[in-house]
Amino acid sequence: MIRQLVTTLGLRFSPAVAAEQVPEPAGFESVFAIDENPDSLGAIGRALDQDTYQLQTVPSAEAAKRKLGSFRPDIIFVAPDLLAADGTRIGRWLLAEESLIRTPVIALKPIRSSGAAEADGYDPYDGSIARPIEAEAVCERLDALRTPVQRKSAGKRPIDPLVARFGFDPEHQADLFLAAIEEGLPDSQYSGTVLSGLKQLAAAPGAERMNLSGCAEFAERFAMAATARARLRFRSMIRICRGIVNGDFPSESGMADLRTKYLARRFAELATLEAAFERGDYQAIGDTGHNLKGSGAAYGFAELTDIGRGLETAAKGCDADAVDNLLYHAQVYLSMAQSVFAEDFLAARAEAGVGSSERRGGLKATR
Amino acid sequence: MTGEPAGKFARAIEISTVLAGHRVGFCGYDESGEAQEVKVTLSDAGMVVVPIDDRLIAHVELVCDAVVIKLLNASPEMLRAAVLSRVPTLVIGPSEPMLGGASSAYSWAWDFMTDARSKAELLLRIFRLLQVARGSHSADGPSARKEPLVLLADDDPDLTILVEATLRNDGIASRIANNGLDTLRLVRELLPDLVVLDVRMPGMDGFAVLRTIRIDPSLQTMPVILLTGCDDPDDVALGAKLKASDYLRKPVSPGGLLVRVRRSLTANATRSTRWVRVSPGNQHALAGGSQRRWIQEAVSPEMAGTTL
Repeated sequence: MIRQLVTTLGLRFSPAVAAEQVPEPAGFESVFAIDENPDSLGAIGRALDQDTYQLQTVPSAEAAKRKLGSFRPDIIFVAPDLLAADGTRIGRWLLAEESLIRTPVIALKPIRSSGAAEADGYDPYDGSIARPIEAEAVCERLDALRTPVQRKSAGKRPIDPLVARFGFDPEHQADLFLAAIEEGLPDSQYSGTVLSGLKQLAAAPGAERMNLSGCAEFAERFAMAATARARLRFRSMIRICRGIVNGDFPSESGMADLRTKYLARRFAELATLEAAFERGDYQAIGDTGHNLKGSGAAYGFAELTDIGRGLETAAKGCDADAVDNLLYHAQVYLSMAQSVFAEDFLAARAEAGVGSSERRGGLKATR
Repeated sequence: MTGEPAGKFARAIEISTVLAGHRVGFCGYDESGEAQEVKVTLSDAGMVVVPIDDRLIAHVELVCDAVVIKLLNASPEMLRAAVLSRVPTLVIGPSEPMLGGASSAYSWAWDFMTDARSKAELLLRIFRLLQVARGSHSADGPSARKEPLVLLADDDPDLTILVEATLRNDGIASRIANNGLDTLRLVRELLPDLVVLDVRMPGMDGFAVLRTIRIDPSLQTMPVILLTGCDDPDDVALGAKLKASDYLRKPVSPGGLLVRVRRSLTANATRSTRWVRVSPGNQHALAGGSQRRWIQEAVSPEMAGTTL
């Protein structure tokens, strides 16, 4: 079918797939370890003696924040529950620090609980090492980081460059392209075809509507970053892009306002959830997760439904790690969604006269 | 059950759940023998104590839509109030000879029955009383409305706000209930054309609400779409058993829900009125500029069942 369409348009059809660009991680040189436990730091030091790493350690969250103000390590080991003076956990602080988005962070944790299956895809750390820490485990984790993502998940099909053309039936083509990216994750994130396709999508006429171009640019920023946080952000933004193209975000009269308010309420709810998590109130977390599961996708935010489902399951099993990961990701996702559907953008869209009948992203054909 | 307090009576017949949402007073007798008050156990609000004074009748009328009096338990004051008030009353006596039919001393009662009758019979009689009580509300019913009315029952305001806006954009009015009891109250007050009912709600869940609707003779044909976030397949089976018109899993897109709502509204030909969505082709025949319009058609019982 595609071959036929392309022939009709007079384009040259090439079944060859463009060479996929795989980012080869550079050898780690500086390692930063944050832990108050000297035994853990000692074990990491012994492991790194066997290789060419420069290790720096700090015993507290405050010292780590000071140090990272002027120092960019290649990899960070952290005991995530160490508290800073303002009560924030150092793990959360590191994960939220945008300037460190490309720096792998490995958690030093007690042996992980069973975990909710739904929450497994939301771990923002680039792996974890169980306490008490053994030198072999540190070496294994470092080796794993050196292995490109594509080699870990064999069997995923590369993206066909033909899919990343938006001239003919651009909405359908954009949907195909984004679906192929989502299906090919995590490998597809590191594909040159995807990177160039996202650039084209961001520049496609009409993509500024519903901020599709902004989403594509955002996804493009993380396209080559090889950390779990970057992968989560990339995946989330691709899903938002797909939702826009597919018309999942209701755009009838008054819906934009409802959506903005909905996101604002979720932000407020997040603070309540964090408080419930701190006091171990899994019942409240489960109830909120249940409602989130029911309402998220109704507003177009399918990922919020997934997060809600994960919270409900994790709360049932009192799985603190899973809840923690999901709450972190909910924060990240809401920030991204709010930037896409910011009020000023919506107001600009209303001024542009985007009518209620326009349910789709509004990409225009460029033939 | 001679001498039992009214609350015990209500519990004993285990109908308070079924009647939840109705204001049915179960009147008993204070065994102390020096009663200065009448205890009225309301099916939806626990026990109300009505003082025996000049305002007794007004109080009874205020708090009850219908009254059930067990004759041997009732205080003389309560009987007097029942006689004089406009509240439909069901009297339960020990035997037919004592009740004696319409010519007896208890002819003031709207209905009477003996203790020996079944629970189902009692419920039917109570629902019949409530129908009488509701007669004055008929002006609010479907025939008086210009657009279809959907009752949205869900405890998640984020969802109801969205669905309400979606329906409004399509010319469908809606009202919101955020728990089971409110749902039952509004179902009976408004007689909506359709109920969209969440299964998991505080207090009384959606299944209990649906069960109650299906028992009530005046409501049992009301279309109900069940909406649930539960993943249990048994829920679907239970919904089907309770004759839900449709079953939707959360999350549901507003557009998807709208399609099901339209389908239920137009297919509901078993009632005396039905709603027909005017197609874009002939909407110009109607006054006004709305893109979406609904017209109400009165259908005769013979026509009921015909498809649109």
